[in-house]
Amino acid sequence: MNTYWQLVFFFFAAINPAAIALAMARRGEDGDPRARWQLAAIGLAIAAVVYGAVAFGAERILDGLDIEPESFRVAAGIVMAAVGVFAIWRGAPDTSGAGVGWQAAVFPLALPLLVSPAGLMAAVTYGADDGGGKAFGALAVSLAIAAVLLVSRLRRGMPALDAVARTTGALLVAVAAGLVVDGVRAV
Amino acid sequence: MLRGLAAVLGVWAVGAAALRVVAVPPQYCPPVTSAQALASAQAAAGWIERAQQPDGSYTYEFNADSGAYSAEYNSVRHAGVTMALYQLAAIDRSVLPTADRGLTWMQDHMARYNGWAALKDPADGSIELGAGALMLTALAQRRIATSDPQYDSLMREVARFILVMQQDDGSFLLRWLPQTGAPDPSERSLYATGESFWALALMHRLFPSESWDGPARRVADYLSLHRDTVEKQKFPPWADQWAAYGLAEMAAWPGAGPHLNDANASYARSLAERFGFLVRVESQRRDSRFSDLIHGRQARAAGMGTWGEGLDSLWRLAGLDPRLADLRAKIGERGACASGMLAQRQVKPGDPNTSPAVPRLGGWFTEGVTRMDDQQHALSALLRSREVLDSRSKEPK
Repeated sequence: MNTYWQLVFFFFAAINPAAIALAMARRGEDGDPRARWQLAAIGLAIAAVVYGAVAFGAERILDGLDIEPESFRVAAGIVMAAVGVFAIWRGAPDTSGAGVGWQAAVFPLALPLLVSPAGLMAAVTYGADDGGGKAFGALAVSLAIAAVLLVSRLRRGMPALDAVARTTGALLVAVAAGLVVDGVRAV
Repeated sequence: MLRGLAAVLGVWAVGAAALRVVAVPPQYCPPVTSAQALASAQAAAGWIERAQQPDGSYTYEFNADSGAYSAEYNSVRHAGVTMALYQLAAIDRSVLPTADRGLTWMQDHMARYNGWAALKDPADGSIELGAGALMLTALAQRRIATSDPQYDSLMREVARFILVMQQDDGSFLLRWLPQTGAPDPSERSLYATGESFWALALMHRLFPSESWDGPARRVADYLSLHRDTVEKQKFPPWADQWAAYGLAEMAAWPGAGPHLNDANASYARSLAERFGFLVRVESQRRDSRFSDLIHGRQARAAGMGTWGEGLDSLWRLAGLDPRLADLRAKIGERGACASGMLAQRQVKPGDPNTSPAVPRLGGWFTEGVTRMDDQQHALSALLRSREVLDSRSKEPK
């Protein structure tokens, strides 16, 4: 069982708000402040719905897959480690699709930036281990940070975002390693 | 947008499928009841009994594909099989004559020196600690099952041999050399230390006024604190079901507890974690070439049986020691899973490949081969899982 603040840290590493902001900033289509708010709000709402469903339904998902939470930790750790290594390497993914408007909020912002493989695996594993409410409350912090970064003009801060995104990737690798060890060592 | 979204979801689906196949295939724990576990243990005893020789020895190894019986024998495994039969005798007295014939074989192969007695290898006369230790656990199980004191003096003789083999730090040497009249200082055994620990723990239970607890505590501490380092375990802890038996026995010793110190409790926790992991991985394996390739071959019954024995023992321990109480439900879940897999993989009546010429009924075969300890460990695990299964059936759903 993890504390709430541990979960906040784990989800921060898995969702990587700096990488999300960097990926959107690299596209160079900021739009006006209202458009940025709209983009962030729609993307955030979609991500919250998806993560909420996954975190609260984590036990059912694992039951449906016939997987014990302890065994799933290993798989989650593998995926999160791979995502972490990618973040160290590239900082943020290059994305295609629309630059502004609701279409951009769905793709690429909601999927695959806000709702990512690492975030989903984290939502399932921590949702099953610590409860959906606690997990969702923790991941919401990272979604909120991502939203704040998205509505801010951060084009000039891209080098800093890149550094933070890569550092967060390194943290994710460490979190993932701990998760794998935990999965192997659990009864 | 839709094309990009579809591409992302497609890549995710392929990744999820690969992950499912490689890292998280479904876990399957066949359901089993307490009565089915007992019937399965009795069927295993039936295999042993039918394959017993007139001199009390058991069939060591049988290849059902070739019909060949192995000419090898092993006195340690003989003692282990006899112990398992005496465990069953506590519930089903019909196996007592078979076990007693096994005991007679052991009595026919004793070595006696300086007030102690040990079981020797019939082929080369070597004297191994494990054979004596498991012989003592067999005698103790007989004593528990029958309350018959006729072998009490023999038990003390064999227990004294175990003390001869113990070193100051609680560890044990493997072999006693008649040529030198002393233990061989160069060899230890992964198995014999735990076997001796359990044997000494049982001695204290049966003869609490005779101070067998001191040596038992010393070996418990050696196992808990030093064994994996001294004996260079690459992936500690060594999955030692004998140690789990011993710890559970210690926890139930007469007198005020707790009898386990913090190091012992911590070691028990690490054993539970190891056995639990092994059972979880095994429950993801299937009897197919694809599964063999990706996840490795299904474990033989001798291996899975030891995990079940370990979990059954630790489940008992967790019921006695509050430091492990938080693990009890999970340990029980894994123990029940091991028991279910064992019961499912046993050869049952109606198996088309079994006949008087090819005795398979009640046994466990891996690639066509069974060895006496397949039946021994599976029998013990199934038998001792009954309390776990009973307790789980009473839990609210």
